[in-house]
Amino acid sequence: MPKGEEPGQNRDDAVFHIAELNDVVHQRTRLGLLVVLRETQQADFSYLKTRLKLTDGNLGQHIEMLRHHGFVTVQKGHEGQRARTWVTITRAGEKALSSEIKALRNLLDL
Amino acid sequence: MSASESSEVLGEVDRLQKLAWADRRPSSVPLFIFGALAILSAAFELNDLSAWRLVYWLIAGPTGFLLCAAWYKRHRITTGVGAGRGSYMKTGVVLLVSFIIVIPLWIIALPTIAFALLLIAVRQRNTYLALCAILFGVSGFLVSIFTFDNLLYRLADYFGLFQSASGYFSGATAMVDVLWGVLMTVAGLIAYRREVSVIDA
Repeated sequence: MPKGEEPGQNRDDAVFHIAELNDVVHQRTRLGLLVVLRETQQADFSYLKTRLKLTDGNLGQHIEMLRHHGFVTVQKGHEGQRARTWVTITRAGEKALSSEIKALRNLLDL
Repeated sequence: MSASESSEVLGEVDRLQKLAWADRRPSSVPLFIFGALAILSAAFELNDLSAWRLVYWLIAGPTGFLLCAAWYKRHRITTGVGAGRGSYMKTGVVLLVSFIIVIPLWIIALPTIAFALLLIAVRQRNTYLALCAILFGVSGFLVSIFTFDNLLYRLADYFGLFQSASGYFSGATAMVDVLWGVLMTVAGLIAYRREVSVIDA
């Protein structure tokens, strides 16, 4: 145990950092979705499906969960004859992702 | 959650971020476009139309941003990948309007264009593009105050390679334009190879 550290303090820190993790963002697929969207700002459904190797139903469920919490917006439209669904990250989504990554890094530093 | 799990997740986050970054081609496209525009600008110097070089950059600068915007729009439609933070379209329009309204900006056209490119690079957290934008701005400013012309004149004179009848060496701006254009294109090729290698890995 490092000098000056109380017994169990490390474990208490871990509990504190785990409490900082956001259940919605922490799920791996949703975390991946937000990471890709933070980089691209906007991506279409097909690209996200290919990049994250997901099925239509699975991706749809996760996007809906993120949309419900205000982390992404979804816009459906047509480009030519092709139907497109565009997913855009919101400021709240970017903020939640940053907090999540910070919490994960804090866990790593323990 | 353990530290090893956390490390594994962060590793996956990093990998995905790099892939998404490479998918949107963040550095190669603007470097190719502005590299080509820099090479083209040399034509004005070589044809003794140096006064038009400034007018060229007043139009070519905003056009460069609009060309980037057009390329990223096409890329977005074909691949489904957004262009990231910072709008090339808005930047191009703002730059064009600024050049029309703020006449003194004409004198520092190249540094202004480079500054606009730097702003986009900062918003996209793109260190490579930011560095190229800074070098573009600094060299553009040095060209505009004839630093390279005078330096080359002194060097040529010192080595006895060039004897100017007028005492003025006027080819440096064209040389710097071509050199800088080629450098930007090479930087674009390096960026392109890096982007493709991330996707292929």
